[in-house]
Amino acid sequence: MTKLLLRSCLFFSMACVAFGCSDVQHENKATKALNTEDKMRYEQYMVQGELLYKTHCVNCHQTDGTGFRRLIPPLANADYMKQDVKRTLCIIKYGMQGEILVNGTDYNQKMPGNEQLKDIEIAQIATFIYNSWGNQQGYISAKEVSSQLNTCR
Amino acid sequence: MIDPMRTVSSLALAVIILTTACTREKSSEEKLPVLGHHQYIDKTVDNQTVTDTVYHKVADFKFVDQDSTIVTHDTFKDKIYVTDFFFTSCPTICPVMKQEMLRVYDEFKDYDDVLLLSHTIDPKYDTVALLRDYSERLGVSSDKWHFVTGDKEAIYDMGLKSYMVTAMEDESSPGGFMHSGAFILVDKDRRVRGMYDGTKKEQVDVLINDIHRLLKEYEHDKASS
Repeated sequence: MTKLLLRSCLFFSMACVAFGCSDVQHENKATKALNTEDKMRYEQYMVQGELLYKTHCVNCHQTDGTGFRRLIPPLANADYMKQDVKRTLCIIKYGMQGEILVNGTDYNQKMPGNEQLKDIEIAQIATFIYNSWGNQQGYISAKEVSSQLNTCR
Repeated sequence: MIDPMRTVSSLALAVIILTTACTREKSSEEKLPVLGHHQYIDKTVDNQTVTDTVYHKVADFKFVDQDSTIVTHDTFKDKIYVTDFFFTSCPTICPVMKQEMLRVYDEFKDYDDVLLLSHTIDPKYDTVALLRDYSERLGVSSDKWHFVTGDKEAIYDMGLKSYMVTAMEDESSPGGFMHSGAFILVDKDRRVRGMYDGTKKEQVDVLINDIHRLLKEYEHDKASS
């Protein structure tokens, strides 16, 4: 009994420390309601997501998510992206082509996919882009990515 | 016994020499080098042997640009130009290259003597119509920045032989083409005067500065002729 009590106290205090020390700078209206565990994951995803974004996406979509001229669409406050999370996940993984309309401008450049990325990495990138530059759409879990990616094609 | 004063002063001297030697900026009087294979030919002039240097020159070429206009070496006669090789569906370095080339475009927009030339290394996919759409989306004038397509082998040949860069089909490369992100600077006499990594902002900064230097060189020559 004491051992269990001690263990749970230890875990509880570690969780408190971890939560207390975790960076809550990414909290927004969509993530406020998350439970403690998810909040921690969300913060981790934001950090990891940003790193992945810098490696795989920044060349085209830029550090501030504004895209490039009429060749590459923005992600910041992009209506096309905000409309459909599942579509975005599929695009990150498999790329896309064809004409699309984003914030009133048409784009028609092929986007290469990133099939080598694992579901959790896609979740991290998605969480990052959906909660940066004014976007406030909330935490996207690896589980959600796994289930959504099944029905991409 | 180590004399601290002497050690410190020799160390200081060494540091001064090294830093000035390594960071001395190219003076604006220094001419840009001429790149490529030089040939030295001895000639007899007035009974004296004179060595002539024959510089590497960009070969004749004939391609078609985004306006369906035939573009040849004559289009760039007496012009300084920057050239590169890319393809519109390129997943990796091309967007960065275009962003950097755009900086060169913006800097020299009002300089009639400076032009840009981008070759597609995927002429099958990058048709004139597609290049037209691409350059329009980029928001640039075709008189200033020519996007050309044409015979694939001819384009690869220009890359390899005239501009001394890699550009070719390669199944194992992302997008199917291997090419260097190099920007090549060519002067009014079809000589290559510089090569820069178009994916690196700092190198494009040097390129922009070098174009200004080249322009000054010609002004200088004109003034002294």
